[in-house]
Amino acid sequence: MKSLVLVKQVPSADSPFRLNSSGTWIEEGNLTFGLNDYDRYALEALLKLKDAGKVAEVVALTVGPERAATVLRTCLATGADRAIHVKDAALEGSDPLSLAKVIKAAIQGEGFSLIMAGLQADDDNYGQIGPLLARLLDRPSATAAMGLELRDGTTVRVEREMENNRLLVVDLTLPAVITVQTGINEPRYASLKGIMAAKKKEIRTVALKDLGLDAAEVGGRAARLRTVRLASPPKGKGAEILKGPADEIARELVKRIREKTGVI
Amino acid sequence: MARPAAAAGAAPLRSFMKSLFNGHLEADLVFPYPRQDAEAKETLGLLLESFRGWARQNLDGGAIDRSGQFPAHVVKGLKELGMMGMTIPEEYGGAGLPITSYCATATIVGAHLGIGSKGVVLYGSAEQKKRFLPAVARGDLLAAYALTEPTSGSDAASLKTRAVWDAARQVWVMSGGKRYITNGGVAGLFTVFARTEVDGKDRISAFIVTRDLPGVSTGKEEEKLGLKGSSTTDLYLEKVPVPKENLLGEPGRGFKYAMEILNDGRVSLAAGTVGGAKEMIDQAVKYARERRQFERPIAEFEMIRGKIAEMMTGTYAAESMVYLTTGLAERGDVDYSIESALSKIFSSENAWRVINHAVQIAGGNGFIKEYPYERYLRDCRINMIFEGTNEILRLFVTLAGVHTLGEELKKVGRALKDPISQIGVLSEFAVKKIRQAVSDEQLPDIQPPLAKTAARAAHYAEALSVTAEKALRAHGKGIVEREFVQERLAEAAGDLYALIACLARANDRIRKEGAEAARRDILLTRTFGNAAWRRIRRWLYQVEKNQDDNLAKVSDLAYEQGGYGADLVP
Repeated sequence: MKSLVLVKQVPSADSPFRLNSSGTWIEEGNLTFGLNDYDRYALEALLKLKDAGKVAEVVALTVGPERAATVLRTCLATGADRAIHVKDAALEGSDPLSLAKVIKAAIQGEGFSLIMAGLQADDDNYGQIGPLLARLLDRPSATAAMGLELRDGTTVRVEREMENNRLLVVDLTLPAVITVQTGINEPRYASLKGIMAAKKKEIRTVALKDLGLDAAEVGGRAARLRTVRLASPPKGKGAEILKGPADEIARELVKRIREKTGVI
Repeated sequence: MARPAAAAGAAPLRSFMKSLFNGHLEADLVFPYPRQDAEAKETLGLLLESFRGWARQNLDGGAIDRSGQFPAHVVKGLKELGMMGMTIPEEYGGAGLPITSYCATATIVGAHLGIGSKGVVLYGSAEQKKRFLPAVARGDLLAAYALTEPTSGSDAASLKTRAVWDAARQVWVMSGGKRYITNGGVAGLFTVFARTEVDGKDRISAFIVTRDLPGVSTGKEEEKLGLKGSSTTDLYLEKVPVPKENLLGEPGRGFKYAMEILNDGRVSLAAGTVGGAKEMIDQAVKYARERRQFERPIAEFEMIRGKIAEMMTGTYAAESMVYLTTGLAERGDVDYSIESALSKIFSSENAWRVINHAVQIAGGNGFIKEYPYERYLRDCRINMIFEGTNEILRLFVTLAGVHTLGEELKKVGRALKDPISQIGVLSEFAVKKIRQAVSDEQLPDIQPPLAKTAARAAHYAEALSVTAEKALRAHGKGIVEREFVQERLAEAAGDLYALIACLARANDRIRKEGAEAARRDILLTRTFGNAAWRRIRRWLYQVEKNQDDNLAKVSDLAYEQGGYGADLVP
């Protein structure tokens, strides 16, 4: 069984974030980048299945600029078998639907049975690529997986995270697309051995023209979703600072929490 | 790191700092600033990314410090990640990375790779490498470097451990004891230096001693000020039969090996202290921006700004030196022993200042164990002591520097058929010659934003060699005893090397990316330079004008009184 993990390179959380001059995104100059945290769990889920002999091949795919190749190397070093890098300057600013179309074209003929991705990206939080790709492929999808089990060669059972600490258990007929929640497993770290071995693994780079796609349709200029502004939310008004001796504050705090939430 | 093949009788290797002492600015050795090999950089980047992620979850420096134990799961994790084999050549199961760095969090790895197993990598036979390195790279066999003894510290050549050849058993019988051996309690392989008889002469040789040999044992764990997670013990050697195939390299060359291993070790150590300093800057900046007093973040107050600026510029300079030096080391055709020593002195003292400032910025919190500052303070203190105390390294820097200068002067003397003792007569000639040599040599292709700073550097490079030459004329061989003089010349040399490293780095960025992209480098280099040339000027001035006599008298006073002295109390 062949499997695919969709990954994204995102700014590291400890980077200094500053708005760019147009106020639509963050200044990229001072950022350090890394693999999207959610995607680590998706990759680990597939590597576990591979360790168990249930998946034969794990392929990592990303869409992004030159620098994004680093996350593919991270995936290869961690245990993925090969990688596909969709790289095209015209894709800068493309909307999620276009990107899903691009990914569909890039994996045509591969015959992946299990496609996984992180629930969402740490940077834009859209969480759309997985479900959109499933729709384009006309295959079932499940989001926010907290557990995952290959039942047999045709079905995967997924435990989905619901509100109020509940799980929704669903069976999907393969091929299927599943996005995972963090905490589903304990992602492994690339070892030096893995890093050295990754140097011999293949990263196939493809551009839009290789996929027979037109930038006028899927490129950033054709995006039907545009970022207008990136801003901090306005300061809330409801905040109240309790004053007085510590024991009084504590008593008041307990009272309020009890009234408002019923937790205590 | 590649090792220059220093065959006996071959022409001496070029050395940037030796030449500088000599009045020659061999700019081609430092310009352009070395860039890391792209593939090695990526491998290191991936490994560090992996290591940091792992460390965030598994490595609790505070817990290690409190317990004094390096937890088994951490060692296991380090092994699994492959950290234990970073610098071991690829054919023996390591990564063959050219730089050992970022070992600050794990001295165990620093001692293991930086110096413990380095002897086998550098001087081991093919058979020895095959036998030991794969296990070293896996981390199954931890390594330690054993030079220091109870009575031989800085004076390493006076060591007493002895190995006597037993022809009947075909073994070296080794007896003696080593002290303060990092990894002593956990290592399975010790690189041990011992006296031997070579062609009838008493010479030091290097041996691979494994823990399983009869007569090898280690003492109790030392209780230390810092680096509590790392193992430090005595190593006892009682009539240990060391197999002849465990002799490292050529017999009699052990002391040279010991020093060369430390050359490499010192750059790694310096890199580690730069890592520690950067982390403390991050902590201090975060704290200064969050902590509010007088209704403002303390970051806005000028006395805090001054500290932060000093931390930034010092660490930028230390980092520039370290990577310039590893670049020199990787060339394989230069002697970088002075540069390595200067990097170690400068960056260990910078880290100490940085951490001291961070403690001060954190105020009372800096003194409390709940915060990381006091641990860093304790952990980094040893860097000024081990792998050559900063004092002994200062002597080394100046003596190695003026040694070639002395040779140069001898040449002039010989040319005029006049012995070195008469060199004073030739002084005008020699000084003029050196001045001419230097004034022609400027740092090449300096970009306009750095022109003034570079001119200062070139001026003080000349001043260093002129002052060193004067000192040599004044003291002759007696300079060996004049540590006050040696210290000042070494201080000036250190600041000068740091400044040239900053200039090379910033200049390279301007050339490749433009002045706008390099604005941070320019600011840091200029700021460091302004402070550095003034310090250099003062150090050089004090070589001649000083109150050394008073310093000697005051120390005599203390020695005579056995301390501060009761009569001094009012």
